[in-house]
Amino acid sequence: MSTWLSQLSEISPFSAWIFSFVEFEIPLALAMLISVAIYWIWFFSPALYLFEYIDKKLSADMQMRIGPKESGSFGFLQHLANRIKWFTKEDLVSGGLGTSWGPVLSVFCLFVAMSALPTSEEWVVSNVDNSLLLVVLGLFFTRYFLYWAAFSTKEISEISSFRLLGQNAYYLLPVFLSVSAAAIVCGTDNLVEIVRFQGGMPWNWIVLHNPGTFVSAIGLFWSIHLWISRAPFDFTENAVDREHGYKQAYSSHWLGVFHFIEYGALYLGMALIVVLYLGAGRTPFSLEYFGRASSIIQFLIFFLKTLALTLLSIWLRWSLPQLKADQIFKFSWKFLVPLNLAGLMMSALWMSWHMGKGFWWFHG
Amino acid sequence: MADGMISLVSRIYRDLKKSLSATFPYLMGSSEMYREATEEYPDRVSARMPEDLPTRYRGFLANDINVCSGCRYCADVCPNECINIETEPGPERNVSWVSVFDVDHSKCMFCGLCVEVCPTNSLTHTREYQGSVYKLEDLVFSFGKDWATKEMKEQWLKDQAASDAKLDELAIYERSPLGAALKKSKSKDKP
Repeated sequence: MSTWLSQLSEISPFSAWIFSFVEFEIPLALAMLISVAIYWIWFFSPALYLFEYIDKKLSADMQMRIGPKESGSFGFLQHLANRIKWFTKEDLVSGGLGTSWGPVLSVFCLFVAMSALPTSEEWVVSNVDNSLLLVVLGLFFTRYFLYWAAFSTKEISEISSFRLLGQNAYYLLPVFLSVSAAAIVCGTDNLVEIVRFQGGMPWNWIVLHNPGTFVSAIGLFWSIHLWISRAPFDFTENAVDREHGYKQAYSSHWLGVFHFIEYGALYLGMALIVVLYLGAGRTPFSLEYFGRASSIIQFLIFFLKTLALTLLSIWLRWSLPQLKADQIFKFSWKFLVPLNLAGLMMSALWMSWHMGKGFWWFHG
Repeated sequence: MADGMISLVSRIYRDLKKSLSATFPYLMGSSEMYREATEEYPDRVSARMPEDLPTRYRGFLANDINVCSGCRYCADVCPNECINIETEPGPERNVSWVSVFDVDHSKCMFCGLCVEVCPTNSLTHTREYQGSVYKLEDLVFSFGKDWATKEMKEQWLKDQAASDAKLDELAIYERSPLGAALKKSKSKDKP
């Protein structure tokens, strides 16, 4: 491996994987830009697209209707048609207000979180030492900058911006508590190390390492639903007067941006659970035979697991009634925080008692 | 506090199980109760829809043009002026040739007044109601006898004039005392 490639693989293993197929050398920053674009276009975007399609069809199935069926042979191109529609509609701006930087910064933070999340052992666009913190903060700021989005339009959606800020009061603590359990078990903040710590079979995943992580995994699942304001916790958007909350004054491509933020954040949240607790992409057998294509196989396995979690999320959305604000606070502070705290403490106690080994079935 | 928390956890678990098991059959089931309730119009519509129509359902209008007398009652009574009628002298005497009878269904409100006043009962309602077209002009239904050419109409006028002349002749020469006298004098003049 040339020095340029080894330099590149230190900061971005995914770029090194992409550029190991070519022979020339380009500046490192340019290589990383190109690899981010490739990662987004070829891997993240189709995953989101497929998630979109399955979401629509599955929701329709549960609601005794059919879902998209006209565009594409069985409605497969419906999301593409939606995207075209978003870009070709008129962008109505009320009261002389210009573009709001809020959604743009949200998307940027989402990209930061996306690039720090490993989808296989080799595929992480930016391998920083505390990538767990980067992903969590990236997702947090994604949600946070939406407050700016609502505030700048100065209409009734301003109220929902304050609700968004108020959301900070109930989702932060459960999230940080539940991701810490996995970090404690692996002893590192680096998500790639956490992926390598786990094995292929379900009993080698961190979720079954000790009872604490099992509880924390469930807690993280609920915390992410609270975080993304997904039903049943979407009280910022569900009332008639709130009218989609912060999205009210936006039209055309901004709807696409908000849609991407919401679904992308959900997908990334579920991906975080898969990476931390469910053994992202690891296989029980060795993948040396496939060489460089082993990453693709790992990515597929990771994608299937994330998809399963998102399907569960869709199922929950249509099964549970929406909670009121005070019920959400109660759920967060009286159920989630104790649950995640118990999980964290159990993991910590287990680790110190058993000298860092898991259950008898965990080989790592 | 611990038992309050345990009861909270068990309540949450119980409610979750109840909600999820309520939607699960709709996710997995394919029996009649859990299948989709939508009809895919117009691809797969349930066959019972035409029978569901009431007996005196007022659908699109249809005119039996061979019975229609061209009296224009329907056009006069129509509140929206949907019906456009043009008549001409036809091949038979005292029978109109309805060359244009256009019903503009884009204006029609299906009130049924035109059908009520039709003296010959040629104008009726059908039970058709599906009127999705690509151009608005496709909703104008024409029933008129527009296949008569100019030569045919001129021929008819000539035929009418000829038969009129014949009848006139018949009327004057055959059926009045003066005509009998004229006929005698005419035949006396002829060589």
